[in-house]
Amino acid sequence: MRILDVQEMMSFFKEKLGENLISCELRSWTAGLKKVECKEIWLEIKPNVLPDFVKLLKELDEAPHSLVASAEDLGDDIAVIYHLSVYSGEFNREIQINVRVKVPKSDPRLPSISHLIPGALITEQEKEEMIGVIYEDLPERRHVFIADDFPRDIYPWRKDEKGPQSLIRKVNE
Amino acid sequence: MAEISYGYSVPIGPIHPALKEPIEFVFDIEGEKVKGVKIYAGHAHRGIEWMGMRRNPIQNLYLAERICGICSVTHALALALAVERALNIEVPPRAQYIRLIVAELERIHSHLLWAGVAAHEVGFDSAFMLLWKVRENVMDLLEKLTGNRVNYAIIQIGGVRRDITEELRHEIWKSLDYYRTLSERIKVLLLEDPTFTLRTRDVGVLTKEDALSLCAVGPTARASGVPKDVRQDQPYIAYADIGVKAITPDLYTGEVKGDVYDRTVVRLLEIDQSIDLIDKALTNMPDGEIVYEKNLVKLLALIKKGEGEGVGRHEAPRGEDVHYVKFVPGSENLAVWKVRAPTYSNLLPWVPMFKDAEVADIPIIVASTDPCMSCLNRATLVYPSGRKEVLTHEELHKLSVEKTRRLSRR
Repeated sequence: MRILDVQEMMSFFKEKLGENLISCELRSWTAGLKKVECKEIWLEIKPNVLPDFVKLLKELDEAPHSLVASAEDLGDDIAVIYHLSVYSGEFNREIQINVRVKVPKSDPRLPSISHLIPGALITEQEKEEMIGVIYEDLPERRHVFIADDFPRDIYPWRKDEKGPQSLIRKVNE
Repeated sequence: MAEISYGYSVPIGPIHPALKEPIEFVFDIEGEKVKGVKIYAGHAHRGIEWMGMRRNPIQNLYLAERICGICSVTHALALALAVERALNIEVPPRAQYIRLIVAELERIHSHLLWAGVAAHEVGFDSAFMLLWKVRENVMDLLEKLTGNRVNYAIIQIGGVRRDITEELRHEIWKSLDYYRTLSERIKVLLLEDPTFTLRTRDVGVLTKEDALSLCAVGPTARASGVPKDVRQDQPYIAYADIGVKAITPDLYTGEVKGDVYDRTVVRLLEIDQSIDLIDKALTNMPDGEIVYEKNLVKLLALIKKGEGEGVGRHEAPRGEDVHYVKFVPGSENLAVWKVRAPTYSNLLPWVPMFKDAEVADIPIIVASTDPCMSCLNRATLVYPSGRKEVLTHEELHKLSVEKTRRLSRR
């Protein structure tokens, strides 16, 4: 484990990712009477370097933790945010890293990171079924969280015509 | 997947899965040994995230509480933390201490509930009854503090809804004393029972490497020797003042095996830890306001003006709970709400735990991660010949009880 502080880590990302890093921001909040400060890094990177980014994290911590990935329908694009963390195990040492990638709906393909963090498999499968991102190199492709007979071309979190509107029973009307 | 017949179809989709729901396991069996497992979770998608994206955060607090009946404060707290971070709302210190006290009381009741369920799964029903009897004390205390045994409705965006009065403080001290006197007896009851030890030692082993790479959380990870605990790693609310150290089983047994026994050890030690934390919080609790903004109309106006995104994490009894929210200006509703309950992260670690397990050990291994769903309502066994057989929960439970009887006769 190579322990860097938040500023060092941000410069490390900037140096290694170069122009593939779109934005990099530090956010912090405090807790308790003692105002203990916790820090998070929020990044946006180009989708093709996502596995490289996770490899960088693995240089810092052998086993980065994948909290979850969240996703948003932005109209023409889909944004997926991976919430990751490194350095757990000591009081207030962990740094949470939130990486955003954007893919166009016309070609919603993303590289998978589950070969680097096996625990991320389930959240990537969820993104496929919920918002219609396509991970080409996923070892297994199936519905995990919604029923297997749920229509394949409908994605519950989409806000466009592929959303679940047609399936909703309007009980109040 | 296609060869399994469910006999029913789920009405409507988009929800988060990891909560009070049925789950299905398909085991590949050779003789009595489990060779592989497939997990199907999506049988009763309730669409909570979808519903939440059409409501404002104050309404969502009550929706979030109903994600799970056991972790009543967990989801509301994680959602409130996420909203507060997104909108830079500062929570008064007294409210942070009250949040800690309620969250830790919930951990005590949840771990006692789990210990009872675990005892029941191996056919140790007298322990199950005793543990659930002593759990009533903390349930009553929660009712006195919040008005409800479950779904406490104590969390508000920016604070809590009820204060802890001097009278209630004494009630809490009394309850803590009650559990202090019981703590050793509960450990002897389960951990020194020869049959319980036989049924849980070296059963459902999760190695440290697997726990790390599969991103296990909560007692499941800690029992495998991964000192991972949000209260320690990213201190929030009053945990930042008091300080928490993740509990691993070697504190009690001197070694880490990562089996069901170790998961029991971690949970029982965490009951002591919770008693300690509540004690410290009650002693050091500052005076002052308990909520950032009492007037809900003003609070909603502030939310409507606000913009931003935030992640809230809370160490639930089952492990780390994560909520992500995003606000766009001009709308008080959540633009994005992602809920990740602890069981979601503990689905994949089940696969190595089941490797080479016996069919009769399936219930206790499933129960050992404390899954938050009405789990294992059925299991399908696939024999090498291709013959398939569906076992109901009752049949599986009978198998498990028979194994305990067999072992205790030896």
